[in-house]
Amino acid sequence: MLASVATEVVQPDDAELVQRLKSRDKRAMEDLLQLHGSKLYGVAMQITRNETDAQEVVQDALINIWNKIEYFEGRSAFTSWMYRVTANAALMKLRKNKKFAHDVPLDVGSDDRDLPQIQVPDTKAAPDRDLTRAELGDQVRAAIDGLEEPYRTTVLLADVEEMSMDEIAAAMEVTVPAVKSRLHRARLALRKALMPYLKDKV
Amino acid sequence: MIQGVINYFKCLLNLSDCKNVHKLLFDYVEGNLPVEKHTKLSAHLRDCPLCLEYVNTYKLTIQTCHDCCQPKDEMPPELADKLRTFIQKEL
Repeated sequence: MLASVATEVVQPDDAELVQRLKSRDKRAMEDLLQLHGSKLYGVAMQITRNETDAQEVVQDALINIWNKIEYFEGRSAFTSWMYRVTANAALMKLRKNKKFAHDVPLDVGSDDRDLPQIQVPDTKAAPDRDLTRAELGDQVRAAIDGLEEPYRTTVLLADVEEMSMDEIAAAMEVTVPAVKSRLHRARLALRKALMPYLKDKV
Repeated sequence: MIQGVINYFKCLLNLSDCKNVHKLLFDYVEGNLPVEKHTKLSAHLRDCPLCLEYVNTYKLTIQTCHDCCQPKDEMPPELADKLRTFIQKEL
């Protein structure tokens, strides 16, 4: 009984956490790490796909959260704001590693000859049975990971992390039309790759 | 079967509208089209099953990516320890 009481963690809600961070309470940062660290790490891993980079990204994100908390005005959920800070830190890391060396044309035609290439095994053949949610998840993640940069990161930031076009443009240092073009191309390429799994669901 | 053939020919008659769907798809799905264009495109989708399937699978791709790709990596305990020390000593 005592043991269970001793290990019980009282989880502060995010409003209280934000208040404590704004009061420069370092213990609040430790609580943040305990409550949200895995999600921050997950965002960092998803974008960098590299454990060492992801570890550095989480540390950079924590520094940015600590330094910029006074600018958080509560217009979005605190968790969304933290994830955006982390995604931005991950992008900085990718940029340092020169993952965004080339740009892409803005025009997208109605055919798919110019779509980004996706290397996904076995997506051409229609599945002979309904996939479980986990199996579908594996196929979707493989398709996204099969996208070349900058399409992969763009679709992750927009459709998974739900960052706005303006935020993505600022983070990736490109124009909003360029973000829209990349995102549209990425979605069309993913749609094509995932069609065997999607067509029976519409 | 017959309905499918009818729909196919209806789509052939409306090729310019179908091309518009490809051109306007992104802004249509993002809700960025002016009302008049949005209404016109919605009307076309009611008449054109091929375009409707195209738009619906595009939307479903977005939804599926969102639902299936939420990060699920657990932070390694040694990294958590390292970051806790960093917070205590460096912030």
